[in-house]
Amino acid sequence: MSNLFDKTTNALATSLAMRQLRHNVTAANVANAETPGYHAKKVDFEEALSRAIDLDGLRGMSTSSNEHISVGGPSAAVRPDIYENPEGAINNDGNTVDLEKEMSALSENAILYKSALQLINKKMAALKYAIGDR
Amino acid sequence: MADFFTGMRISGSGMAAQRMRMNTISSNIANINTTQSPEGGPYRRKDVVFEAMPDVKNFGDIVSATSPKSDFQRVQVTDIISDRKAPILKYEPDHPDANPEGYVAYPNINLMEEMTNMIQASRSYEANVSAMQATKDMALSSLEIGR
Amino acid sequence: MAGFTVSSANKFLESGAMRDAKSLTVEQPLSPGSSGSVSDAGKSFADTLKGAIENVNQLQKASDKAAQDLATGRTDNVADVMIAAEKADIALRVMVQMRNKIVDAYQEIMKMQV
Repeated sequence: MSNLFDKTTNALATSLAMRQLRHNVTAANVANAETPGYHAKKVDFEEALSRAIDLDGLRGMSTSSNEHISVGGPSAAVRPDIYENPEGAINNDGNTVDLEKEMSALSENAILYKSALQLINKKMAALKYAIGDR
Repeated sequence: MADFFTGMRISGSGMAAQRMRMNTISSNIANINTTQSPEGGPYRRKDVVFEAMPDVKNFGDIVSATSPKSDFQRVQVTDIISDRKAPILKYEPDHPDANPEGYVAYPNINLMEEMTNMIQASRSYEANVSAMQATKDMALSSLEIGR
Repeated sequence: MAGFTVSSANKFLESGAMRDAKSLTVEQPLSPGSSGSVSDAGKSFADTLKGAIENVNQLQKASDKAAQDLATGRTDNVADVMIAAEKADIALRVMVQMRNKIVDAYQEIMKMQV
């Protein structure tokens, strides 16, 4: 029964949480776009997520009994990396926020968030259709 | 921690900070020729000081350090400082505020600089509004899961 | 159709073909009195069904891969991912409906009194 929600659904759900985090950090960058000495922050989660869901299938271990732990399971252990963006150009008051870049990052993140939402919706709807019909 | 209401609070703080900055800019523009002020002497140009503070729900958390240090920082106006530049002196011996040598002290406010700051502040405000709208959009669309 | 008994109905479901004098198979032109040589007359129904299921499975796997790529940021092409997901969705629904129709047909056949 645990195969009812496969690792794609887990990956999508985790990516939702990560994109929320990225959204908050980007919003904080935008709000602090003129604060002296503030350095723009960045969130990286793609690598950690693809490792956790074992994207390439290279590290998968098959289990033959219940006591075996399989890799590629629930992706709750994905830890995002929040750090200061090294690419920012420093203004004369010490601020490194590039407002246009932050705004475009915000839009891109919002679109990817919504598409992940839609994909989860589709999968759940397909499951419900398959079990609810007849 | 990674919820949408944090993002809304942060954007709200950005908007409030820019609004306070607009207030000081309007005050500067309005008083560009004011020679008298409550603290004596001509009007002095006011400016805001922004500071990034960790975003926590109530201030007691910062003091008691029970909650972990937040990764998100909102902006806060910590001070409104007066400019310390010397006022401009103009020779007008008939002015009621003239000093003994006949010079009147006018505020050292550059209108072009204030207009530029105003455009900057309004641009930042709009950016924060966009961020807040994006946050609200994403939060509302997550209600659609399973609909 | 002559000789439509339970056993021949079972054979129909297994092999997808009715070995009968005037039987009809998939992808064969309708002609009365055609002899029922069905072995070389195109894919049998079971093969078609198997092919359809395999197709659905392929589409689902492709859609899953595309969704994982989108979640981990390896692709930016949202439109392609959405199209793949919709294809898989529609294929699944078509298959479910097909299954329903097959079960209905079987039950209809079983209800016939011989």
